[in-house]
Amino acid sequence: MASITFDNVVKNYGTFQAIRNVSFEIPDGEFAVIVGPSGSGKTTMLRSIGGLESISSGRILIGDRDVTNVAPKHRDIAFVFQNYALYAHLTVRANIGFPLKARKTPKAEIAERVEDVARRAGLEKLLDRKPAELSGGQQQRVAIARALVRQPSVFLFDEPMSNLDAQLRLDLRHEVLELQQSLGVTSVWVTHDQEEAMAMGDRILVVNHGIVEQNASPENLYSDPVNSYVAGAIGSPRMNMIQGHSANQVLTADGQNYPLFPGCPDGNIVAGIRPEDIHPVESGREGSFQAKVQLVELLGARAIVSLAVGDRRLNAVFSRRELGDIKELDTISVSMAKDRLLFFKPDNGERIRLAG
Amino acid sequence: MSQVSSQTLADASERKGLFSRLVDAFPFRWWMALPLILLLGIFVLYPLGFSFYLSLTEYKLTNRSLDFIGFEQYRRVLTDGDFTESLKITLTFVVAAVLIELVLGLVLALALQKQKFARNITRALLFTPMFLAPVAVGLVFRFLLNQQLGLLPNALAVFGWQVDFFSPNMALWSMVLIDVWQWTPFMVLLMLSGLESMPKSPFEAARVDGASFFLTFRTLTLPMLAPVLIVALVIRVLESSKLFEYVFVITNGGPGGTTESLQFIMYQTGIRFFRLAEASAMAFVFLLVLAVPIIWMLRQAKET
Repeated sequence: MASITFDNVVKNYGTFQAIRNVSFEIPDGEFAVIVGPSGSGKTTMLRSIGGLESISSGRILIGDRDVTNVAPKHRDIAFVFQNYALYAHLTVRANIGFPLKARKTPKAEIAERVEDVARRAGLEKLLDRKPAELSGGQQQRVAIARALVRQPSVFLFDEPMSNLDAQLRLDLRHEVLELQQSLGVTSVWVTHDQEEAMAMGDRILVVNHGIVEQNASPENLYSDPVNSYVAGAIGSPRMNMIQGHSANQVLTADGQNYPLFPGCPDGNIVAGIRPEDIHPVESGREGSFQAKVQLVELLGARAIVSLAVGDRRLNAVFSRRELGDIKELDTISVSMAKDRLLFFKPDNGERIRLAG
Repeated sequence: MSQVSSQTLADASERKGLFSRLVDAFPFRWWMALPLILLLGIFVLYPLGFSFYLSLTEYKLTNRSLDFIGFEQYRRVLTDGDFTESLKITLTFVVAAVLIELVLGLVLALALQKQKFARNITRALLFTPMFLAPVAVGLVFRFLLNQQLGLLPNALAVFGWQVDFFSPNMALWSMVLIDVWQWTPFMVLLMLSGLESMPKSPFEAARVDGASFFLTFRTLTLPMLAPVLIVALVIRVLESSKLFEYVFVITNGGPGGTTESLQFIMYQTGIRFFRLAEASAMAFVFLLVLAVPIIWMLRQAKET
């Protein structure tokens, strides 16, 4: 049993608040991803769980145990660092075995467990090399093997793939997920890459300016964001945000009219629509508006289409079939999928939920 | 691309006159180095060569014979008890002083690295001794350690401890003490910068892994610090083997020759007794003795 609980955690650096009174719980066995821009406090949160950073106030629990003032080595965690943090003067074998050696495990047992973990991580042939003789991907694999060897109750990953190339990231992503699922160890993974977050997390914590904006499953974050920040941070290309004045089911923004639907909020609002919820339709259809095609980026089965509506740019994602023979500089009719429109308050970005 | 250009260059040089051929043979970048080469030649290479030549003669300031006598001076120096005794004294001093400075410097550097409060002022104060002239330091200690006047012997006497810092048994160790006082800060400075330039995350990984201080020190700190340690050692061995000022202003080689360092007897032989040839021979023997460990250490540095 090793859930992770933040209870009103605050972390100050001088006058700067890196974590502002944050509370959340990550249930036992889940793979949680903390995602946010640099400086948002995501790494500080992770380091606080690991005990590498002491918190200014609040409590941190691992399982039922209050670990707020417990040293890292007594928290039963393993930490994987962004730059691998391998012991440069030790062989791969000694690196992986180090946590066991530090805990005075008998030599025979160390050897056995190192072999076992190395096999799982695909490192059998590299055991006698030094870290400098390995590629970045191999080094990170050693770091993960070192984390695995002690069988901790929590894994902490601090942007472990940001120094690796794209293909390697995808491969390693799969391997880590498979390992985590087979071991069932509660894991926290920090990244600034929302796609990585969506792909990996059972749960995602969207962090910004030292607070958790939303803590939910990837599906929920995507379809039901609590505010415009989360809506913009999750999904690629980003959600289109149209700020304007709504009256009589028409949103007016920068002199352009966008048809809305009955029940939409009136007044100054921000309407959000995801690129894949904008569709081309035959001209003159109810609820449609005119847009000029600026750019078509073909991605295989789909295409990102940049549309100009007056001075505004909207991103749309069309399927191959929708795209048809639409090409750049065409003027087309498009409509927004009405049940997918989200509304936010223009001042604080808070979601305006529709009645019923 | 490069083939084409070298081809055209070769064609061009065939048509050139004497001046441009000279320019080709001695390109401009060499001329740029000429002033330095000249200075080195005049102030380093020539004196070095000349003193080596002197060591092969009978040259004295009182009898300026430049007659070549081969390695006679070297034979004399090596069979002369004074020189070998002095070599022993100097090596004892170097080994003791540098070892103490190394260990003390490392301990202090590790402590200073952890310090959070009043960092800069502590460091500034700790580093002051090495900014003082060794002659001044020697004079200060001459009085500080003086058996009648000195603060330290008087302070020790309060506890019933009579110490004569410049007795035959103690004098060399007092020199070591002074050197340690003056030059440990240098070790601290080098090691501290070495420690502070180390990546932090392996140490954090070791904290999470539960490594004790000694395990972390052995597997992380020491190997990563090794290149700095070796450079510090090389510099201090070279510097401390030039022990002269403390001896000159405090003991003048005494008592009973127990602090006659090599530099000191070379100075005496050459400048006091005018036997420049013999002093030169001593210098070259010492150079050889020093070169062996220094080259070995630099090799080690390259490997790490």
